[in-house]
Amino acid sequence: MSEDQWFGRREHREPYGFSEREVAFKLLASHALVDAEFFSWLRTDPVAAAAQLHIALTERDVEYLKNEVEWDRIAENADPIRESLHLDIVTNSW
Amino acid sequence: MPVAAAPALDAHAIRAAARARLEPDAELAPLFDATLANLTPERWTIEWNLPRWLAARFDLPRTVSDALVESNVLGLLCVRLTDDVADGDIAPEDVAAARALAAAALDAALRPYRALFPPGSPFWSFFERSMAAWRAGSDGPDHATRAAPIKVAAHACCLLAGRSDAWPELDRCLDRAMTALVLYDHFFDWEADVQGGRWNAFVAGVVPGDPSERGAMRTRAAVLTAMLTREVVVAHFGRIAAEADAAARLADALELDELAAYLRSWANAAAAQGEDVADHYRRAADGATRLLFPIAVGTQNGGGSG
Repeated sequence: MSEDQWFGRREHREPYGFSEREVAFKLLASHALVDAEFFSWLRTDPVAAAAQLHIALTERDVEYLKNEVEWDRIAENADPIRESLHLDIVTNSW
Repeated sequence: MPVAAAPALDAHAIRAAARARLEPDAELAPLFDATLANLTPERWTIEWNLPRWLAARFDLPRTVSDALVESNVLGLLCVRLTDDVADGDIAPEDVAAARALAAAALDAALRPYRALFPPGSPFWSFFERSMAAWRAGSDGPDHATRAAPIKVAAHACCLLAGRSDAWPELDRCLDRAMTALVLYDHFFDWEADVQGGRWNAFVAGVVPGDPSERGAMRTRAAVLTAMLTREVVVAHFGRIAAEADAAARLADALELDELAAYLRSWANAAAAQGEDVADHYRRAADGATRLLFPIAVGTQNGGGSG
């Protein structure tokens, strides 16, 4: 049975505690998407970048961001999402 | 007692009459025609219809309401050209022509008022106050100042009908209606306004502080992030709906049924658009989260819900 610094035993975390992390990760992803500087900062210094948004990362999160995330691939795939942020993409369909 | 409905709007005839009144010379005619063609009754419904609705409510002659609608259209043309020059949307080589045309349109717009109200009439002091308020506040947080041009014809209708008693309520109604319309326009203009360094109601409500100190790129990023992660779109369209609803209730009280119906119909359409936009940004945020954190521990699908 695993534990981490924020949630304690895993089985206690499963039914609860998703919301804050999901909101936090959505905040990180959204910032990274719209702000190229933040994207680069999160890639090179995830702890400091997340702290600016008042988000504390676990050691596992840091390891994930530093070693598992495919930043170059994401940078390429982010373009369609970035493009979709222009309002005229929405209004053109009206 | 039932209130008579206004006769159908003949936009073609109004445009032709407005053109005949201004008589643009060969140099100004192309800009006049191009600008006028963009001033559609669908987009500027209140400007095109308010004098007609008020004339029907107050039993004013059709000739008067037609003349005031033509004046509203010419006044709108003046306002649009003035705004376009101020916003840098007119090519430098056309700025002088745009200014000349705006001045000519205002002069032509005032012609029926000169025939209807002698010098010294309270109408003229009202007109001067309205235009001063519009010039002072058209690029700031006092959205109601945008109502100043449309108030000119509305106030004239009240004076001509001997219904000055209706003015305070109509004044508040138009303030609330125009506030709703300005908030709506500012939402769709926010990126251009940030880029152009102009004040924008949506941006001001989302990002505290002076955007000019932050720079356009940082402000855009801050606003987009807020749109992706907070319910700022819903909140902004909620403000729009509240203003339109307040205006519609004031129109009800004045038995201006067509104005009230228009405001409610517009508010419903705007609310639906707001929902569309909010959904779009929620989906974009989910997409971004799935892209960046597809297997982050402690999240489901990287935080995405769809």
